[in-house]
Amino acid sequence: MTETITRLKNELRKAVVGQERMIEGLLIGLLCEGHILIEGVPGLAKTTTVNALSRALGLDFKRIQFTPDLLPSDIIGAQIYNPQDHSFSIKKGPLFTNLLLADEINRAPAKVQSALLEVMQERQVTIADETFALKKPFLVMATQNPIEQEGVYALPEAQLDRFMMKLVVTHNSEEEELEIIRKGARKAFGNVDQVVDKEEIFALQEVLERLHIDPEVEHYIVTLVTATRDPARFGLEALTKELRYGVSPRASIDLYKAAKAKAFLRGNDHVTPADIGMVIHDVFRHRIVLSYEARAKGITSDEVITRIVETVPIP
Amino acid sequence: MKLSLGSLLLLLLLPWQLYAEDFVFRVTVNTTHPYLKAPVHLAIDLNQTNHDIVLFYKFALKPSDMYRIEQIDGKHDDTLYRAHHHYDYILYPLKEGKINIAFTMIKRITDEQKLAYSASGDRDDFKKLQTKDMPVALPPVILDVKPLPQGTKLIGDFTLSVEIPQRSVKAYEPIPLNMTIEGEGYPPLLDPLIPKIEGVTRFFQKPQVEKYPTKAGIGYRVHYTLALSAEHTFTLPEVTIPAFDPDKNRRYALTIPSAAFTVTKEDVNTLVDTIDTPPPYRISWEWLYILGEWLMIFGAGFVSGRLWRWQRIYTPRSIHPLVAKIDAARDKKTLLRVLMAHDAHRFAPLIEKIDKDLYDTRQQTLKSLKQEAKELLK
Repeated sequence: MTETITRLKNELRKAVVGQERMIEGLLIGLLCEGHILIEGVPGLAKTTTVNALSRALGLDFKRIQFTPDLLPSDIIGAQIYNPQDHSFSIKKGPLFTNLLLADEINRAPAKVQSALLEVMQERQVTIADETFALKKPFLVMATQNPIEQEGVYALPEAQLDRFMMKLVVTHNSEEEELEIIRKGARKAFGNVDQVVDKEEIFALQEVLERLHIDPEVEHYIVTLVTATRDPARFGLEALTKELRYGVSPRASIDLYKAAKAKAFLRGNDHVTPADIGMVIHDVFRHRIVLSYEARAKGITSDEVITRIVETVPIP
Repeated sequence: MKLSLGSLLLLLLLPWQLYAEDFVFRVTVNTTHPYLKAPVHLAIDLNQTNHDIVLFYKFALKPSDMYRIEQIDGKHDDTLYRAHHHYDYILYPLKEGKINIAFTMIKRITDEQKLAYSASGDRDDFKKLQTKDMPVALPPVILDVKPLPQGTKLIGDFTLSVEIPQRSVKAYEPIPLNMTIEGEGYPPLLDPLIPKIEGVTRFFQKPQVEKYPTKAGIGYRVHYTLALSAEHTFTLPEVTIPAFDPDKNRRYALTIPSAAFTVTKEDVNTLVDTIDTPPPYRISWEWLYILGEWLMIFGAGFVSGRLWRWQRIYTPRSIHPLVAKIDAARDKKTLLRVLMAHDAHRFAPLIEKIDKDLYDTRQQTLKSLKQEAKELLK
């Protein structure tokens, strides 16, 4: 099974240089059927990577550029009146796809973001009085730009919680940057071909479900989650003032699934604390709500997670 | 006294009157041969003779530096067709010899109708009385002014009173003197009233002049307030003021009596103002302190700059906090926690190695794992 993953990664490398963390995060999302929020400055191949993934998987791919004047009907679809036979027909929106790239999601107003809530959680769309189930797999990969603050709408906590992971994309290393400019100048980025089909993905998901996880490791996950809610219990009294809300139960589930996927991607048949440690930042960082004091001090949720991981003993 | 022809003529004209058109002008003087600065009573009457017109007068004595005038009375009777004005003046001749006392006179003719019209106005609709104004040339009154006796300082009938409330004082303490000259005649203003005295300082105040009416004209009461100050005992000499009474044609003198003043010496030290007196002069070395302060500030700045440079050169680089944490890890699990917490992606190969070592092979030593972690940090 790891051979399928290797093949997929190699195909993606034709279009994307570096960005291993993002690719691995997307694969975890794919294997766990979890939505991914990607944050990074412009030009870090966020859209390219998602595009390449959809091609390599041979999945249906749609992209929505979120803008302030976007309406819910623009993404979910609408009923259209047919004057010839005086009937209404359903025009499905771009949500009816396997991979949905919601580009610059924080530029859309709250009502459009809310329209995504049902889709992301229930994987179904309601237009007028009809509800349509979306085809499997269905993944939302949203991007947002952290630099611009003008004319953006912060995503509500409820919606952020529906994203399995938030990946923070950073700039490439110098070697990778050199390769990018060489390939870019020669137009040497290869075409991405389909190397994996849907059935193989479903098979991988089934394998993932069977992956063993020790009760002690499960308990470790619960302890980490509890530490975000009640840090004083773990000798982290200083965090009490900095944390307003800990992570939700959905975070526990996502961390559990993400750790399994990470173990699978590493080629293991069981989950170890290291798997959890490798994904915990991505799973927790958008779910922890910091207090005003913490934000005033410039403390980030990543720093809080770091202190929790450092403190909570591993089994 | 010999009378000249002119003087004789003037005597014949006293009182004299001028029959002008529409009115008669009558002047009465008590004397045409006054002494210099001696008061002359001058009475003027204006009587309407033409009773068919409404007549008003505008009369005044022309001011001159040859005499000084004080009006002491006046009666204006503007009865229609019978206007009568009477003026009383006291005149003081200021020049010897013949002087002319000139007048200005305007005759104002109107009628009842115009008068009624002007009276019909009010504050907001003032109606000026329409008159026909005609200047009338009145002949001057000529006075032959006689000189005063030699040395005369006061002209008139005056008395002097002197008040010296204190005759024994301390050195430089002021000795007040109050003197009053009172009577009828030319205003008794003398300057200085007291002559210079050796070793005595005189302080004068502007004399306070009071004027009061008398049967003959005007009386004057002049208060002199002055002070003397001296270091030693002294005597104010007797001061004689020669005066002349022109009415009685007699000379007399007013005398400020001699007065002795006892001045006792005051201890000079008690006179020194110990509160407001500036401190005695001494050389100020304040500039040296200021210079020293500035040099110290400069030196401190210079040394601080040097210290910062030395510190930058000699201070060892601080240890990376993660290295400290790696060093502090007592077991592999702790090391794994530290690496997972800080940068799982960066340390991914080492994390996998520790993970494998912890739960499988157990071949690596903690020291070697720490060393590997530090190398990954470089």
